[in-house]
Amino acid sequence: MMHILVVLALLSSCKCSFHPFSGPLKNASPKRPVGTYKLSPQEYSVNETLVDWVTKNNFPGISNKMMVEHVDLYRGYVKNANTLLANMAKSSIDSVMKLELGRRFGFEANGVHLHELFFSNLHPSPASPSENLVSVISDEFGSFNKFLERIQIIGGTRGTGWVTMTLDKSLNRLILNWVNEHQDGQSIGDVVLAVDCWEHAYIKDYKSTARGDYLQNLVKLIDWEVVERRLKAAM
Amino acid sequence: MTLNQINDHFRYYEKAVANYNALTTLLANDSVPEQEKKQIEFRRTYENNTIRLHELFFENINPKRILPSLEFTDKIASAFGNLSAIEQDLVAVSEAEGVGWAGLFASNDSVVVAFIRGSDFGSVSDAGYKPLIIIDCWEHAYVKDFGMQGKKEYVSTLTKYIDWGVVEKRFNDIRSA
Repeated sequence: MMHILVVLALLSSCKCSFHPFSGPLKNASPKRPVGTYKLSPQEYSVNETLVDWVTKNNFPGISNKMMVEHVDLYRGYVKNANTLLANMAKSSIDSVMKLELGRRFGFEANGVHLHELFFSNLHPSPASPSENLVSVISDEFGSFNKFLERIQIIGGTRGTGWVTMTLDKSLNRLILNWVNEHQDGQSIGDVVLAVDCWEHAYIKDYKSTARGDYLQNLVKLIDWEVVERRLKAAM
Repeated sequence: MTLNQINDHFRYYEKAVANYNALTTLLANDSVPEQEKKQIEFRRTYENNTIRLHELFFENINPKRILPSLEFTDKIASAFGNLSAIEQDLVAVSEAEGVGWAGLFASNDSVVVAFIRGSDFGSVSDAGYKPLIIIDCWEHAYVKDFGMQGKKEYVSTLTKYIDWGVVEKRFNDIRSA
């Protein structure tokens, strides 16, 4: 009883715009009115426009042969994600082993999303970033060049995965970090930049020990207009 | 498998050794904060796993087809049926998502085919399993020669080049320990 009085006292005195807990209050009506909405569920499908973008253009430092193979991997992720969706719907919820299918879903689904984000933030000869973007980036990373260095440093993380940049809305900050495989360590927020650091992304054109060289080239292919557009949409 | 692919793989292994040594030097450096040292130790375990797994891998492949003794075939095959069943199982587990190592492992009383994710050697050794066969299924092991979709073909090919003499010796060492 005492702690409820303390909490109510705090609530009346604090100017915060949200309740610190979400339990039902004594006088709240038991049924909240809920607006109706509808989802139209689909399957993943290969974005052929995106495929054309990366396979019909010449990206310096990335051979077309490697790009074509990379696209095939992406097609595989789309297929696997859809297969998993179908199997997860079929499986009995009581079966512990079939629940493991769900564990794999993040891997396949993020595999689809991250590859689409990656392919669409590449440009054969990108324009310089806008003054606004440079300013926002510099606030977080010191300077635009330091930011480009940071992408390469984080991209050198041992293991297999991605460098992603997300907008964390509760911090109002850009978070640049390593994601292991496709799903471990992904920060919560809209992804504004994705850089594929899996070996398949560079190993046909570069030595296995040369991820650094691949990244040094990759940062010259990032489409800053796309990054900025995503950031504005996320804000 | 081309020399280009194999030589590149050796360079990768050498880099892991260099990384391990660099991390060891860092750990010996008094000016590195304690919290960072914990992280470095963790990474050094990772590098160590990478090194050990690569050594086991390079040791157990041979361009000459080396078959096991009848005695060994009886022991192992009784669990799987025959050697080609083991080969097929290795190909099957290698289709696991992500990168890692396909292998045959033995404990005191059982032999299993399993997939090590990433470099997580601990996942099998903590369960009491020691390696008999190790096949590298990271992309650097096969993409140059077999393409990005070539993992299955690569593992199938490699099962023909397993040095069963080495595998048999490992098995005997485990069971006599």
